[in-house]
Amino acid sequence: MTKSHFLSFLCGAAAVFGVMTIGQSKAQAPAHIYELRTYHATPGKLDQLEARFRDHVDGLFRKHDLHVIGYWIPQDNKENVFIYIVEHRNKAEATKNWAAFLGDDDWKKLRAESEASGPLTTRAPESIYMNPTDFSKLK
Amino acid sequence: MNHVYEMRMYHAAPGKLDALISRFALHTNALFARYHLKPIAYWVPRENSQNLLLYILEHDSIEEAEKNWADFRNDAEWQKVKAETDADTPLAASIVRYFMDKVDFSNFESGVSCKP
Repeated sequence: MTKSHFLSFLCGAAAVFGVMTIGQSKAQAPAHIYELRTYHATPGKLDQLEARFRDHVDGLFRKHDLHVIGYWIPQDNKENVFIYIVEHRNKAEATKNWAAFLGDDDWKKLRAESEASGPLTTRAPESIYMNPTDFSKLK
Repeated sequence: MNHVYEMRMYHAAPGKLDALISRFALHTNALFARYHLKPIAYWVPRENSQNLLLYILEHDSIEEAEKNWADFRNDAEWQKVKAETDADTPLAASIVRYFMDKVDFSNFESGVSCKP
């Protein structure tokens, strides 16, 4: 085999291995799903809602593999909105982890105590499950 | 530095969601990079009766955001792409946008995914 042929062979082999690696990594790590959750705080209680997440809920989420990529508050916030996005491996994991969180005694106790003088939100949170697009940086 | 975040929700015209997504994939996303518009992620709801495409941009400040958006809108390549792809009907029937502050205990780090 001449040197140039050998180099061609190496390039071809690298391309084949490259394709195999990409194929395998896709199979092993399918895109995650994301959940956009929107809370409408009771007037005057947005700070309390934020504090409950900061001091307690965020830790309980970690305990139950609910991975929050960010919590945000709109700058112009007439509707008292608090939003966050959870990254889940898949829908089944999301359902399982939410059930574990909702069944956690610490959460039940925290919820009862923090809402003793009335609920912190005016309605049930909105939840939208989303798929990342192919070109999304986070997948 | 405290970044500011921009939520953008696009309601695609009926039957045009795929074309809108393609325009982002083939053109808009690259043009955003040219003008320092940094999308942290793009998403499509799994149940999508509203024909939505969502994304969140990270900006250094609102002033930077508006400057970068203005530069983007003035880009000749974007104007050509938009004219061609919207010739039939605008792909985005309406756009909702608002600026948001990240809450201080947020564990999100720019560009870092936490896959196992």
